[in-house]
Amino acid sequence: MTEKPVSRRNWIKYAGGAAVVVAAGAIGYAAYQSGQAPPPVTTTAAASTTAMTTGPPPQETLQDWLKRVSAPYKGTKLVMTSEATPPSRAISSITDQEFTPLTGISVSWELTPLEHVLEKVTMDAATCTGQYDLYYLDQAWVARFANDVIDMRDVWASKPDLTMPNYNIDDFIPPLMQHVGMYKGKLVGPPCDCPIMLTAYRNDIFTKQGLSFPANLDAYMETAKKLNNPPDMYGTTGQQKGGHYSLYCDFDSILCLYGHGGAQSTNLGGCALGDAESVAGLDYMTELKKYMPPGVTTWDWSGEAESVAAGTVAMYTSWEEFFPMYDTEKSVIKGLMNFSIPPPATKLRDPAQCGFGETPNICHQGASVYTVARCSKNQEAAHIFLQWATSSDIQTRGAILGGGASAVRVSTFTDPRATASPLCRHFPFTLDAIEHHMSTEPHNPSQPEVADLVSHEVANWYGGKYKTSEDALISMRDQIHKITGYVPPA
Amino acid sequence: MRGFALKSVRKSRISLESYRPWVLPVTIVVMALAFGILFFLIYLSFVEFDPVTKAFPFQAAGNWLTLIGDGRALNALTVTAKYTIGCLVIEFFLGLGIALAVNSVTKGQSLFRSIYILPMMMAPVVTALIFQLMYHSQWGVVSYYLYQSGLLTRQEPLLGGTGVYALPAIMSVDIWQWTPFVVIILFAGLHALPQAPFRAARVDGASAWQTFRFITVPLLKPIIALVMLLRFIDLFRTFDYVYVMTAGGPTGGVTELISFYAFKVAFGFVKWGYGGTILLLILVAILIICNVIVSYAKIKF
Repeated sequence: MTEKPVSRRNWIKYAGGAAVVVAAGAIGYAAYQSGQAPPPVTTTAAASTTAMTTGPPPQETLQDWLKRVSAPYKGTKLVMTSEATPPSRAISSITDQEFTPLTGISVSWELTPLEHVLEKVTMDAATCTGQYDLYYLDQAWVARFANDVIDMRDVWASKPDLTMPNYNIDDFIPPLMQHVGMYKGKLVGPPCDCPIMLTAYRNDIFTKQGLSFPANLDAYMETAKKLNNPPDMYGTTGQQKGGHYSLYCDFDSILCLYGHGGAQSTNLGGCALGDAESVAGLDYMTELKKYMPPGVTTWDWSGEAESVAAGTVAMYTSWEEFFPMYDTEKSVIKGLMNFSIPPPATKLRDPAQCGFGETPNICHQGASVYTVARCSKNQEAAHIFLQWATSSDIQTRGAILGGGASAVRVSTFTDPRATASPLCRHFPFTLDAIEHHMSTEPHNPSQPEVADLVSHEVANWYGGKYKTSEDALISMRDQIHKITGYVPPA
Repeated sequence: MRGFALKSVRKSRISLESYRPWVLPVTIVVMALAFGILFFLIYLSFVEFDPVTKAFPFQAAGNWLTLIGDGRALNALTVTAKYTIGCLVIEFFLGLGIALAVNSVTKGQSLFRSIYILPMMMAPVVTALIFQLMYHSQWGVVSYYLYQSGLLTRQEPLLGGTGVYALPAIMSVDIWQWTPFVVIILFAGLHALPQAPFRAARVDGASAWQTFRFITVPLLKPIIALVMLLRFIDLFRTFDYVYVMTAGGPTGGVTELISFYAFKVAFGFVKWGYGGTILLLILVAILIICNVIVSYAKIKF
């Protein structure tokens, strides 16, 4: 077959045409991007929004300090990966409005679902390319990435001029710093949010039925059963999407494992699942699921909150960061929800019997930290930004602007702006939960895989793979031992 | 004269008039990407990533032995086989039926073609999000009408409950989006068929069914084989719908396809070596089955 040669003139013409199209597309895209406004921070209280976004100006000393220390880093662009939580969205907005104009350091926030953050941090830490300057680390990942981040205290010691005045690290709620911010003596990062499980219930329904808040887990089950009237009203709800981390969180909570004296780990490094307490816990959660919407196995925490917001759930125990959405102007249950610490556990396992820092208690937390990546090419600038983003004023405004979400500093709970905000009426319970009732998952490097396995096998149990809950838990235990490499003593 | 001709041929091989030097750079890039990634995958299958030390210790055949004994991988392959065969059969017959129907219409063919390819224009992720909303157990429009009609109960919603309807629900999304692809290819094939055999059949008094069975199908066979091949490759690699709609659940991995499981292993568990091994398995499976289809149907590229 003879080949028809392309003449030089025609080739240049075609290539030039293609280049023009590509260039036009690139210019158009750049123009479109530059015209995009950052996502607005939403809050129902318009007056407080104005006050929060413009806010009282940073203190003179802090402002001067920021201007002075950031001068050598002007023009630096930091990249941060974070879960798209309400406080993160709020702080990213404040960053563009205040931090960047003041310091000349721009911060590009990549706000994504939690599982995407894990992928990004893993890739960046493994390759050490310095693509990200700052990480958002979930408390379950702290052990895995402890060696990939910088301890703030080391920077304070080596570069004292970069120490933010009045940063006050002691202001972070102590259990949070102990169980989330620290790992084996290293400050992995200051806490940045703390979703924690509280119980929310429809006060109007309880009053109408003459019910009081359940005094224990048996009463919780009876209440859910009594108020269950599908499809108009369900006794409770959950976040039990098969294979999702949310199902693990429900498993690990007061309503299952921890509430019945169970734990995931032993103090010998093994897995404790399969014992009588864990069986009791899984049986309880399986029974409770009968009073949940059938779609509970299709959604995570967002869908769970939406099912409550739709007015079809009487009572549930989950992340308090969603509670403010029930009091928005358009909410059908505005002002109808009350909040409480969950009912006490049937029994609680002593943390001394557990391993990897696991702390069974009645309020499951999903706290996270912000931290500077070890491989960041802009460590000093990132360190300045980290202190600013986790300072008392920014954290308070982030929590309030984020809709009353996930405060981590004691000063936030006592701040007049918080106490005055209708979005923060659950804050007293949140502080009590963190200070006195907070549980912590095991911090072992394999925890992400273990959590996925538990979630998968609990879904298998619901699907009828196992004859008994004990079989399911023993299977989980054996698989977890394979993952962690633990060999049980003979 | 002969010597002069040979000189001319040799000169044109390196001449800028030839296409070769112009496509050489892009060819090098494409080949490097394709084979480079393949070789890296093969390397990964013999090592494993340690997330704490960041090292890749040698595993020998460890990953392959793990794969052989991995019940979850076997389940994923089984689910993938059900998904692929189910979608392939339904899309083919549905697509063929629509193509034949459109082919028999004289007016409005262009308009119909323009409308019918719209599902293919949507990104699969967007399609999955929309269907997830429509299938929502409490306020999805499709679920609502299925409850009203008695075809579905609230105890067993489309994507929840014990998951009995989850895989068919996801298959329906694929069928909705990619049957038009089958229609387009088969329709083009029908248009390209020679008319003489059909005229002869009419003269001989053949019925519509006889014409279809003994003339249309045999003549269309190469096109059918090609469209089945292309759809098989895409179906076996499906990921988007599962990732968005069910994450492999709701129970027992009922919708966990092999590509989703590989993603979970590689990025959820951070086991890059084992994840790479599963991906290689997918590649080998596709290559083998594609070669079977190509040789059986005698497809010529």
